Amino acid sequence: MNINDDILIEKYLDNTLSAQEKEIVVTRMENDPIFKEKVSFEKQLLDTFSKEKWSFIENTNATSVQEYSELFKKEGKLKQVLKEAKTNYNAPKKKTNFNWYLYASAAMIVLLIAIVPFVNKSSSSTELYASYLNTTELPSLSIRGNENKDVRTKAQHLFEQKKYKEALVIFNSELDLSKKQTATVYLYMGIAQMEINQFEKAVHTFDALINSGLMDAPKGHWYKALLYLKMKKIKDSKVILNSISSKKLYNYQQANDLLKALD
Amino acid sequence: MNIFYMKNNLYFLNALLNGSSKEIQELYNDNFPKVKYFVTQNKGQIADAEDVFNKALLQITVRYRKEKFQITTSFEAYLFTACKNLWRRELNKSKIKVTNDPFYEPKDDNTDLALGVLEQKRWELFHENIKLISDNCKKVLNLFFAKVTYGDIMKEMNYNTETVTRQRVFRCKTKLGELIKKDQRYNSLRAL
Repeated sequence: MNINDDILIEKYLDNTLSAQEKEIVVTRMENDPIFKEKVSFEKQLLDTFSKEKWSFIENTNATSVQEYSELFKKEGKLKQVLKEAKTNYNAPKKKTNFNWYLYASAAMIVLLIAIVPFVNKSSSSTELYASYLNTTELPSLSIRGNENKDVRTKAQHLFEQKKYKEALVIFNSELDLSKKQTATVYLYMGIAQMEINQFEKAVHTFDALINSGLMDAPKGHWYKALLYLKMKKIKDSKVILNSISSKKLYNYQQANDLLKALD
Repeated sequence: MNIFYMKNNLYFLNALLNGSSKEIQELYNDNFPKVKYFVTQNKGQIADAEDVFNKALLQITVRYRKEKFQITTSFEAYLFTACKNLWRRELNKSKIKVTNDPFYEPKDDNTDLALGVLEQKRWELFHENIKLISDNCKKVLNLFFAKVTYGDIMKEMNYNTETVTRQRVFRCKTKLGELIKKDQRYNSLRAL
């Protein structure tokens, strides 16, 4: 394709051609299948990489559509299991004893009247913490050439299985924590401590990362903000998030979103 | 690929293939809150999040049953991306409905799921290939796809003129197109 065709297609898809020019493009598409394919491919590129749009399939009668459709029809069992999983997820906790439930409810009402604002904040901060903590994007602990590669691999494995206590045992027993570690080690340790509510230790670990002078040290601020969120120290969390936002540190856009959600 | 991702991913993929209630419940409990938050923060309701979450798991299952595709990240990260894409798809579907686009005609659920899988496959093909072009081209194209004007791309990239900028965008787009079309997955998606 030459650049002139590219400009023409771009304007056609942007809807910035005159009616006459548009007519020329449409006629060319009808008579020139290669040109038509170029237009279609350009549209796919623009829609796929646009943050708002989506690239839909136009040939909905293609064989592959029918093949997949047939396969979905056969997934009755999984559809049922997913339905049950949704129901279980939404199910209220079981009632054990009516009298106990009645007394407990009365007590709860009294308690709620006293602490409603706090409870609301707590519940939303827990949900926000769960939503913003993304451990799947952490870099691998075991980088080629690193010391203690096996130890790191083992710790990462346990971490990914959410066996945080066991992962921490390895970190604490097999790495010399008096020496400066890589930023990734601090992150894994801090998050593991945070997940099992070892809050003071997690603060210490994230502070160590922040003050380490390592390239990834600013990540410590983001995770410390999440830690405070988990500890329900909303004010402290917001102070850090505001600082991340104003200094454009790691994850500042997420920090902005989180600040809005906390307001 | 990370061996632990592989083990962990196989654990969930097999659970889905076998319809194992316990593991699927675990998946639901651990991953749904994040999806719910994402959807409800992006113009959706809880019911939309539930719908998207179920569709994503069904799509992953059917696709894996058919072609044993590889997930190169963690299962959780892949699932979240699939959910985000499905939600973007739903939002755009409603736009098409509103504008009465001639391409839009209501589909039965299974056909719609099938279209979703194929569109997700194309999305992955394009996104994996853009990672292969030079950093400079990636930056130029990211600006272009974000609808930044040629004038602003010129300033951002320190090019001399808008003509040079256009040529650069054209060259980078051509390179990306070549890579995508060379990828063996493209053949099965070409006619769609």
